Amino acid sequence: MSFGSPILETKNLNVYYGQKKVVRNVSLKIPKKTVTALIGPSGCGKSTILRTFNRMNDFIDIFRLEGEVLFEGSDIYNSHMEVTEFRRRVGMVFQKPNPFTSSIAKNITWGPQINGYQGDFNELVENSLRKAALWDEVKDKLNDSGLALSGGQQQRLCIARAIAMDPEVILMDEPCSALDPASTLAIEDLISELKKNYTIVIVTHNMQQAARVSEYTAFMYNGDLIEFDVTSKIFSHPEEKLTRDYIVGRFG
Amino acid sequence: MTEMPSAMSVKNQVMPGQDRLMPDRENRSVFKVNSERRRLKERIFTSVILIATLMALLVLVYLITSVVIDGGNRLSWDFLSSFPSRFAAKAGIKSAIFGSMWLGGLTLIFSVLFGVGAAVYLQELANKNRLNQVIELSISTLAGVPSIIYGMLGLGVFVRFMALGRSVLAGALTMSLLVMPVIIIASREALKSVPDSIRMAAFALGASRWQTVRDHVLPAAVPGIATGVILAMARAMGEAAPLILLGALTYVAFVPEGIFDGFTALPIQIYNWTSRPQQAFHELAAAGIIVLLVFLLICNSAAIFIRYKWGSKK
Repeated sequence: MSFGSPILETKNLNVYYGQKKVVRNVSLKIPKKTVTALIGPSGCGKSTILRTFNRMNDFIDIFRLEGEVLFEGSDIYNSHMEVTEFRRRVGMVFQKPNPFTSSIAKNITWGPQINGYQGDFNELVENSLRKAALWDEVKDKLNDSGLALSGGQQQRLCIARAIAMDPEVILMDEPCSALDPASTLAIEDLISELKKNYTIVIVTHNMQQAARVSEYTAFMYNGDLIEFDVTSKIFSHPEEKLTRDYIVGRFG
Repeated sequence: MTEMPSAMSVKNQVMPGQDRLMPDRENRSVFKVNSERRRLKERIFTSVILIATLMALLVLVYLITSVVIDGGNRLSWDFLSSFPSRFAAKAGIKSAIFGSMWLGGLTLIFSVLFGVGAAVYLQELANKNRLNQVIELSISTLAGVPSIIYGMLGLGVFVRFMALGRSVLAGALTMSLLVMPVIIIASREALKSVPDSIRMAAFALGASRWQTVRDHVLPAAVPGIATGVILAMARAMGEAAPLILLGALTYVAFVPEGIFDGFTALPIQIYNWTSRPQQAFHELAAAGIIVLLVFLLICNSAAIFIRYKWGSKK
């Protein structure tokens, strides 16, 4: 397996929560403008890795990290890194839709506004909502609260909010686990559309979803990266027995 | 009869006087329910909590009726718009009303500014280190300190050391200290109840802590903070002890025009009148209590209204 220079990379990454080591010596390269899925049973460290990519672990007091996490070749855990500026370039969509209580339009514009966006805000709202396939549903109620939308619409609003920041990477932490099948399908279609312009890293418990939406898949188990390869290979001819057992549903 | 088939079938199954829910009661001896006893206990429990509620209400009703009987006929426009006097017939509470308004307004400004600020710091910004734990413990302790102690502190610090004199500013600063622990604790609870997912959403967009708190966390916490502030202000309006210790004046024939002016307040005026021997002044005190209660009622209603408005906006 080979690809051009990765956009995100971990080198010998170890993560501890207090005394507990949750990620062991993981070296992983995320290729540009593709969808990479992180799969594995609960507690395997996949969400932890995702959160190191935009330093959202910083808010956990007992979090500690060894090794390097590189974004476009530079270490994001370097003390000279301006973390707020960096988070603009690596957006995140959470497990549960978490729109702000303010209006739909304000949900989109708040991030760009605090980051000094100079362009036209109305245009930004429309473009972001269009890219998130939500525009037609909400264009007449942009001033309604974001919380008035359905769960699936809220999650697409959160994706639109991330897109509005013009990020290079969008991290998704089980974005469909709180949604019904129809909304899940809508989000998956959206992911396939978004990968043309963005690098997407998605954590998922749903193996069919990983197989459907991703080009690359990393399988993790108990803090170790067991296998990382092209998705079709992982799901048809995995190298490791552990991967195969997980894929066929023997555990997890 | 086809429009309500389900209702019909239910009706067919359960005939009047026939207990379908417990068809074989005799056979199921493992479950012995004494329904009579259970219902009796239920009734006792309900009456006990009802009595507890009525007790609180009764005390309030007794207080209100007794002050209305004593002071009701003293209430008049003259009473509200006159300065105190040594003649009961001419005495009023104009200076006390204005003093209380000055005191309440300034206390509101100081205590909200510092109280909410401290709560935001402790809840949103501070690390969980030893110093902050000590601060937290001190605040909960301060909440239980008797108000007269605050009066002594205010006398020493504001009146004498900072040389503010017996001014309304010194009174308001003392009152602010008194109610700040309550505001801090209530505000922290309100901030704590704002879900973390909102903070994470903001941080993931590259927001700083201050931007996150200012635009998302604080607005979401406003109803809870408002509740704390209401309770705190109600306490400040009714307190007399610290003000008496500060040396607030009891006979004031003027209205404060600035923060360095002397003042009196409703509870002090009431206290002053009750300590006089003449019956007429006791009636004036009762009338003053009615005014104070109405004052508190207006404050509370206004705050509830604001909270309701804020809550329904979302």
